[in-house]
Amino acid sequence: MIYVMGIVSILLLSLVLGPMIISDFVWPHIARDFLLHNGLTDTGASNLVSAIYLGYRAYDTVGETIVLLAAVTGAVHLIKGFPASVHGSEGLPQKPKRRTNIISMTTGKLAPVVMLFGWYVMFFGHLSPGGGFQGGVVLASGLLFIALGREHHQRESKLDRSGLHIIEVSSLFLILLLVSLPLVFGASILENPFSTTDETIPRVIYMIGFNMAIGLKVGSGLTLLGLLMMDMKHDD
Amino acid sequence: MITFLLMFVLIGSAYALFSRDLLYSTIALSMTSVVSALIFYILHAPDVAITEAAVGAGLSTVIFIWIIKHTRRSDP
Amino acid sequence: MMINRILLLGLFLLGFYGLMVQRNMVKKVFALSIQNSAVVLLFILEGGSIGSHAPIVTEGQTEYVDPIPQALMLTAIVVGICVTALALALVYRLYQKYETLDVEEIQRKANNEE
Repeated sequence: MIYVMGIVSILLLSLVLGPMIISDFVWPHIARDFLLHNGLTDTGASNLVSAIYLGYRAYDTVGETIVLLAAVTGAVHLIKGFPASVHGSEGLPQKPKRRTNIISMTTGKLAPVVMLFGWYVMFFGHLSPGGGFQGGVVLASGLLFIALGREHHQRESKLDRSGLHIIEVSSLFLILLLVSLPLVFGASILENPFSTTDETIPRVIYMIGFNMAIGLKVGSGLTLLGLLMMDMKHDD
Repeated sequence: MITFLLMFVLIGSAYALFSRDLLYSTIALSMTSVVSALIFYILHAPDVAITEAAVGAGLSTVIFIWIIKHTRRSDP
Repeated sequence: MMINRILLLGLFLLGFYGLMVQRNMVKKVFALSIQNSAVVLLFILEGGSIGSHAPIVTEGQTEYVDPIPQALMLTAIVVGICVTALALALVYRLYQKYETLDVEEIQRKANNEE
């Protein structure tokens, strides 16, 4: 019965979405021309994608960081808030008594390289492909490598004691501070305040600061999500 | 070229939804993400390619594997 | 090209069908992720048809790809993984309470409890 309903709904949905797919509308290029001429002078970033999400549409970026905070909060409450006894799970087969440490060795030694790459991608977001989101996600992967690379006699990783939640909340405050900083210099909020005629302060400092704050926020949030899923109790 | 890679994405996603072993479908989903990142690179979008590769093949796969470790692995 | 867009419509409909018909909850979350991937691919494909160079300002280049869909899809990918993580936390909580991953069995047990 439910298969018939599935097929019928697929047909009806393709009837609705069909004209959008088949139409031969040419993508307009007015936006690209405008950004080509004014993107570098308005915001100061060579990477046009960074100029958009840090300059023209920075409000979306602030909203996205709030969504991340809400997701991490919800997941923490759902997993850690109900201490129930779990029966033995029949998931992947039990570990043998002698655990091989090939994973601990390779991931533990590779973690600093990945984190260094994440920092590089975060800093150079305004000149080459990269930026806050990308660097933050690579940084989160590097931190999870550390968690995977623990020694096999330790019960929990070194990351549990660090203040990752403090980093996440403080970087939210840093973002809010950077959003209202241009009011001090005479520009409107969410706009790059340093003018091009002033030679002492380069324009890109605002971009780099904003990128760093976004990268720290995204990185620590996603690392918390990963570590949370790893700590769920099961019969070992 | 893009059409050929999109067929890979379609076949990988179909296998991920209709397989009986959840570990195999997680690996198929990770393959989908990597091929998708390659498509983004061919379409001149390097920022989206970095994000999709790191998110899809890194964090998303790891979260799925930790869930099927703590619940069941087989479908019925 | 039209055949690329038709394949992407097929991918979206496959995710929708999986979301409706599959009884395992983890497979429903797979289907959400597949739908997210399809929409992101559609936007980048459409934006990449007007140029031939990545959108980084260099000297003497004017044929760039449209950068606006790329900036929107960055946020979309991160929000997608947040939705996936929260959905999986809900699946884990349901498994703790009812000890099964099957939607119809959970409905039956919840009806029997009342």
